[in-house]
Amino acid sequence: MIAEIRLTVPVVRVLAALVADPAGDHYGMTLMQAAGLPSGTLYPILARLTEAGWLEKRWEEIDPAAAGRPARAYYRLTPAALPTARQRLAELHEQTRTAPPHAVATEVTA
Amino acid sequence: MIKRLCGLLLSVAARRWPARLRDEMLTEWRAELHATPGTLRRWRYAASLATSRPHRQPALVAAPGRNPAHAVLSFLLIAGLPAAYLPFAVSWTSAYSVDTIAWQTWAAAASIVAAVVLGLGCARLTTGVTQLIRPTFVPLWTIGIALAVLLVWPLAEGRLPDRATVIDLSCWALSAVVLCTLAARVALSGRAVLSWAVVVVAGAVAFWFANMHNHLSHFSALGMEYFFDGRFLTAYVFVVAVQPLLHVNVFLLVYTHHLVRRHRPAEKAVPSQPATA
Repeated sequence: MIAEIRLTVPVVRVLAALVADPAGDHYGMTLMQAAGLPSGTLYPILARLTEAGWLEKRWEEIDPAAAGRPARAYYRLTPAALPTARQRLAELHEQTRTAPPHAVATEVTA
Repeated sequence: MIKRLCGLLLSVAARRWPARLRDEMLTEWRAELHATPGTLRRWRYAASLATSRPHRQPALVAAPGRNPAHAVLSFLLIAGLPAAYLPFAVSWTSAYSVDTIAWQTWAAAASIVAAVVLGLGCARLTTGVTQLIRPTFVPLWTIGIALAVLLVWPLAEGRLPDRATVIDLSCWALSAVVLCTLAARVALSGRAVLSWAVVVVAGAVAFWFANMHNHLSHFSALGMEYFFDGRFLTAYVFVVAVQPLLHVNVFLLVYTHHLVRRHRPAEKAVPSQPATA
């Protein structure tokens, strides 16, 4: 079970970045660049998606002393959330393709 | 120096997050900061976290025991604050003199501003009420409790409320509930500015109904010429501004409407679909 989330524009950007490479390991910095969001916007979204069961968060398995840097956290869409995310993005794409611009803006930011 | 400052900003940002996530997020941010190239990018990374809206969603999600507690707190605020304010206000609004009129004017203006600020603050404290009471029923909840307290108040002083007071207060409550419900519906449709405009109208209309049978409804500037050179409008505005019920009215309407505007539907579980990829 995953929880319902509100699809705001920043959330859609994050989901699109994750869906583009569902098997990849996404760090905060790579997601910031892919979604075009600042850190202060990205991390609350990641926390919400994780709490809602859409994302799984794992820690990099390295020896910080040997690597000379602390372990980073990376995110991936859960198997349960991946089809839902794809479906939502497809629906949104369909709406944005057919609806007039003002209706789309209202839908996405609602 | 920059590294230390960035570390400080991350610590500030982490303090605004829920306690259960704080350490984990701070560890993650420090690792990302370490891997971020360039002083400017590091600075932007830390500053954005420190200055942005923190992760607040759990405060709006239904939690067992939390919403009844919000409802009790809301009840105490609605019943307690106006009841505590009225006796206090009577002591500074019941008599005027040339020595006191200036500070009474300032006190009246400040009190209205304070009522607005208090209303906004109390609504933030009791946001969870709208998980128990539907947003469109919030005006009935807030104004209804206030009406009950105002009608019972004379009984606590050992007397019955007079007929004119009962009529005025009932009309006040009815008009406030109807117009605030309208404002709530406008707010829920996404028109925030228009909804606040309806609240302003509600404040004026409800206050007029609350004073149908007292001296404001047949006001005369007679006796006020010492203070305002006998100018009717100035004297009338002053007398309106020092009415305790005006301040209570402002508090209740701002509280009610901000509570409605802060409503977020509780997140509900949706069945997951089988993975196709």
